[in-house]
Amino acid sequence: MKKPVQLDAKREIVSQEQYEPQDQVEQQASQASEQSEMPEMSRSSQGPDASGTSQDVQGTEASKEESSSGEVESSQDIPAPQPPRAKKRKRKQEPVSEEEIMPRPSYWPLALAIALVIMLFGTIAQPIVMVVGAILVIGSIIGWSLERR
Amino acid sequence: MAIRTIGDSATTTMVRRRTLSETYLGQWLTTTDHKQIGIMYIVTAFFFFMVGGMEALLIRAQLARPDGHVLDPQAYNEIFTMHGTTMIFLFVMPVLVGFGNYIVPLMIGARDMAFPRLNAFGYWVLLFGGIFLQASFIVGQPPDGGWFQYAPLSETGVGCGLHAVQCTTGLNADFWALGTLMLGVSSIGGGLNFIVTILKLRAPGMSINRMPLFSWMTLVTSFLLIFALPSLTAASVLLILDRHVGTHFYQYSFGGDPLLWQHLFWSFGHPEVYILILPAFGIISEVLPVFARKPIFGYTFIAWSGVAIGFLSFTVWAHHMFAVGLPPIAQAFFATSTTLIAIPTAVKIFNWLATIFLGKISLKAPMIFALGFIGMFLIGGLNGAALAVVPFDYQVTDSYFVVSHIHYVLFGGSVFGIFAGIFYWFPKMTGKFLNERWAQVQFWLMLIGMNLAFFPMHLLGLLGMPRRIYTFPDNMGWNEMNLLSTIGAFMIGLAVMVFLFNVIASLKNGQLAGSDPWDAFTLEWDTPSPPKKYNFLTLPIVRSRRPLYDKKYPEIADWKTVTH
Repeated sequence: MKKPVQLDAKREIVSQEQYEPQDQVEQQASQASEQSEMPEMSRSSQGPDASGTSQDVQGTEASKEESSSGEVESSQDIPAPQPPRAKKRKRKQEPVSEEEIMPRPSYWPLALAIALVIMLFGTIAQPIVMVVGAILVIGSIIGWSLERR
Repeated sequence: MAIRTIGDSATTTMVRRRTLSETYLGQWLTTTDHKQIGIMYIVTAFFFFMVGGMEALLIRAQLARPDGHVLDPQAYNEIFTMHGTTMIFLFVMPVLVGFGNYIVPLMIGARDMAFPRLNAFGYWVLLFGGIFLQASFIVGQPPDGGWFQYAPLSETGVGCGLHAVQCTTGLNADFWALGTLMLGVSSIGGGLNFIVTILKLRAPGMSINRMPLFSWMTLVTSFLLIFALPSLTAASVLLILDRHVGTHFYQYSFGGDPLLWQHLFWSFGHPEVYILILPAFGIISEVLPVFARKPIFGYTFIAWSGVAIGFLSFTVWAHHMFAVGLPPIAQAFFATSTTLIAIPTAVKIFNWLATIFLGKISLKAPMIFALGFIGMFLIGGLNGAALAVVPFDYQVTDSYFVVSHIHYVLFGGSVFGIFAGIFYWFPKMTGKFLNERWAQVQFWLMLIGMNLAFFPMHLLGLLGMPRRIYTFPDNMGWNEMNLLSTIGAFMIGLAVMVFLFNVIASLKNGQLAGSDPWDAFTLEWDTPSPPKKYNFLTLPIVRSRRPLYDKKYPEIADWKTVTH
């Protein structure tokens, strides 16, 4: 087997974060949150150095495997730099529910689409149809904007 | 306190009636989930594929024999116009957007699109735009000026009859202009959504350089959409103003420019060809490595050749207008740029061939459609390069040679790519395999059918058969090839029936597919089939271009040996 190339420190931060299989993560999460109604998820993290719970969950096992096999020799030597503003990041890792993180259903896209079609059809049919359509478009946009997300 | 709906059987502490959005129909009407919206796009697109396909069969039935009388001339004009419009705007574009919707967020490790409600809005506008266009048949005035609806032939009102200006006095052209306007709104919204999603919501570690090629091509296509479609929207608005307000943008006799429409339309229309084919390139780039058990060859070249095609596609529009009498310098420029675009396209084809070279090829349904795509698209690309040569274009312009070219590109290319994608991702979307035997039957019917239908059109074009003629006399030497073409078209129709049967039977009794039935490489296969609503419980961390491969085979993971 080929020897791994030496990676720079920045790249190594990523490689130390072993990618956790989704099924294992879900198993762990379901075990941990048996009493709650929905599985808990991490908030989205925006970069490789803000890796959310997957880094915490599986870093230990993965690094053990790597060190025992001896294939990745560079990763253990380079100290992982302490991320700045660690407290803020820790707050981001707090689990949240599905409802909190997923977009809510909404009727407004459908309503706006219908209103738009009525308004455009009015341009070639009757001006009153266009006016009604325009009012509906404005109403839909307002409803869309004011809807609680 | 746990709140449960009436339908729940568990013990409840408080009971409330289900809201409308919690009913089955309400869920679909109010959904903002990219997967549900993706499926709605795909199902809607296939409905319109059936409509467009029936229109194609009517056209071929009319042309099967000389002096045919299946349709009257007006109905024939309406049918071929709506065939082109339906297939391009209501089938190929939406189905590819549907794949993008379903797959791209999963592929890049995101939980949804960046703007979920805009995503839903795009779908509904597309649906109503499509219904609006097809409703023109109900009122008896469908568009009849061809899918590119040339002005001033599609004009009406003031100027009608002056200087031999012919007019479309009914609502026919209005339906087309407004319908495409709506579809443009949908596509621009969708394009913006894809761009933001891909640029901002990628999983940690997934740099642009590690992004799957389908996402790459969707990104390029999205830029094409937002830069190309405004041109069509502007053209349509000007046409509506000419027809209803009394302006004269396209009428020479009143100071307008009759070529303005062609410039505006084709500056959208040629990028549109790449809007229709680039996502299919992406699908092929995903399928080939998995079924050849090799990483994609020349990832960087494939990705950036897509970008090059995107740029060049904005510089070639006037090759559709060689016959209008462009100055020689313009002809030279557009002939050169059109030929240039063959280079990045060829780069892709050579890289695909290198990917399957010496691979452990598995000829499952997605793979055979992908291989069929390469062969058919190659023919379409080569006769397209021939059309870039101005003297040759003069000879065959507006003949069946052009019809053949566009069908080899859009049917042999896009449609074969779409079917490769369907057979590849159907297990992910439904949790079940499509039947492999029926897939093989469908493939061979489709491959033979399309070559029977479209290859003779090359010869018909060279023999001088103009496109869009209602019928032809007996003594032109076109009879046999037209009959062959019709037989081929009905074979394609049969292949589509086989596909529909396969889908229905497989949904009912199909073999269960696990989360990763193809032993694939990308993140969408790291979710259950079908995926949970939230896609990923924890966002994956990506370390190479094949994150799932890394996970499954950690001892030979890409990131250990490759530094991208």
